[in-house]
Amino acid sequence: MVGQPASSSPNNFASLRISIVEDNAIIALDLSGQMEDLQHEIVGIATTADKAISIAEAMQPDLAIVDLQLADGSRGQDAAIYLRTELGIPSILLSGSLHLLTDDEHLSIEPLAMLPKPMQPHELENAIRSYAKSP
Amino acid sequence: MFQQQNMSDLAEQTTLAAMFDANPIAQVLLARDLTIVAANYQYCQITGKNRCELIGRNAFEVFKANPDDPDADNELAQRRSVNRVLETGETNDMGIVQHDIQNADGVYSVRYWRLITSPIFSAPERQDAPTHALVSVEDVTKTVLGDRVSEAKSRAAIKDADTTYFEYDPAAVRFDRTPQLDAMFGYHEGEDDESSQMFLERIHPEDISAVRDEFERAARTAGSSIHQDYRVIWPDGSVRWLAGRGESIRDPVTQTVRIVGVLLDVTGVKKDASKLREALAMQKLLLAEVNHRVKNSLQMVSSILRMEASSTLDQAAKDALSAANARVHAIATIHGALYEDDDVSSVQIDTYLERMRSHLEASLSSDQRSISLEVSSEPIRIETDKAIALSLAVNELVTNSFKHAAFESGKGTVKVLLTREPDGMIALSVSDDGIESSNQVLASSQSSGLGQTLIKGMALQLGGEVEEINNNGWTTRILFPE
Repeated sequence: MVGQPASSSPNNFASLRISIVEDNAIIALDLSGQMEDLQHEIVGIATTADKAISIAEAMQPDLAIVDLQLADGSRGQDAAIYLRTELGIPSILLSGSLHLLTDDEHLSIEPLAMLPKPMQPHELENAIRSYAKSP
Repeated sequence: MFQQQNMSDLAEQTTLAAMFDANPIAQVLLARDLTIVAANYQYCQITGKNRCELIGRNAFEVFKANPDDPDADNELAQRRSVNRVLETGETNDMGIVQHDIQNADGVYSVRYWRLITSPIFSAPERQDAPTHALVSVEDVTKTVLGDRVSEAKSRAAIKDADTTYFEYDPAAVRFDRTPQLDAMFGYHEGEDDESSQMFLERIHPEDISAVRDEFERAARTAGSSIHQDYRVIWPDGSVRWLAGRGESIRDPVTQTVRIVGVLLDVTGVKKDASKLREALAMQKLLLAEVNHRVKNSLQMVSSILRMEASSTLDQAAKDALSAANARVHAIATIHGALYEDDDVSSVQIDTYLERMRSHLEASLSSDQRSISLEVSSEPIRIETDKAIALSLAVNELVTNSFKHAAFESGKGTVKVLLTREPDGMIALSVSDDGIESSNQVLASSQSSGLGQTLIKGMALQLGGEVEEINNNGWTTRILFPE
């Protein structure tokens, strides 16, 4: 299904399989809802870096939406690095503390977008739209 | 012959008296009971008395002891000295004594004297029986008080052993040992370590080369100043911070260059500074933590409103919830702009407006209408409270323009302009090129809405006024003080 245009979507872009890495349940639910409204499929929600990696390995999503500061003190950037370097899965980073990301981490993750919290819904939509459109 | 003899005696006495007066050393001749028999010119000069006040009177009646200072009375010591000299026939060096003397107003001044009592024999053949005592007097007040000042200075300099004087010999690569310097480097009193490196050995390995370099630099040119802070490690492992300040000088005797100066133990100061740094770092960490929570909470509020809007089927309720969410965003985005630099009391509003632009354009456009939003702002920082009010006002004004302005071709432009105005004012204007008539009709219907109320409220909070201009479109302008 990946990369195929979802002709039924009013947004007129591809349906993607997305995993969410976010330890705040409300925000995670909202992100899921936003993605589903845009006809994307949520393959899993992880609240820790370890969980994020195991979901990614099992489900092979097209991309991940990753918060930086996670439950149990783990770091979203660690999961994002693994996803990018080991599994080839890109991430959109979403955090109230984007400044915590180091230059080295940024280089390893090559994030599709870095969105500050609180985020405008269209910022996430735009980021995903431009990824889906990219060759 | 007899006459000749008398004449000769007279001449001799006159000569002796003249010599007595010419003597640059002050002298006074005392009888056994301390009655002044004679005093020379110099003695009168340094005591401020004339001979009439002195001759035939007891020395300590003339020079009454200072009643306020029991240490300033030389009478007993002088009496003992005279008695001893008269008994033994030998000169007695009394050393330095204090005996204050009164000036003409009766006020005592502190005076120190170096006194030597010598025997005087009235009959040359009786060398075993002196009859008078000649006291040679030197006023050493200035020297003694000067020494005391120096001693006080030295004491002050080594008080509590956290400051000391030092001398460093660059040729020998070593400090001169003093008890104070020993203490500062953690050597025990009397600890015997004559290794030439003894002090340098205790300088922290990370600091030693800088210390050596600084000494070498100062040693190359006599007269250079030296300024070095370094750590020493005591045998118990504790680390002390020392601050050395001094200069290099040429030794007057050996002609070699030495470095002299003072050394301060500044460990306490350094510890305080490091505690302050830690406290500041902790403060920053807490601020970042609070900031993170605030942003997360605002994101949650926004998320709840969006989910609520998404799940409701009633279009009016959907629109109301979306409008509420947009207002929350207007506030939340300012928080997002905060903490991007160290200043949390104000916001770089132009940066923020650019971010708001893309969001508003995306959220307000629809398939039916393509309206572009242009933002132009001078670089302006404004207080956070004002930024939030401004943000809400921009949200309402732009939303109104998008929703209500009728654009002929379904295309149009909304412009947000933020400029500095004279007299410390800032102007926010939002204008659209919508059709005039439609705007007028809609303007009246807008005024009853919450949006219009919010615009007025925010203008009030900014301390400004709202002005509406109808000119080839619609412009709303809020002028407020910076």
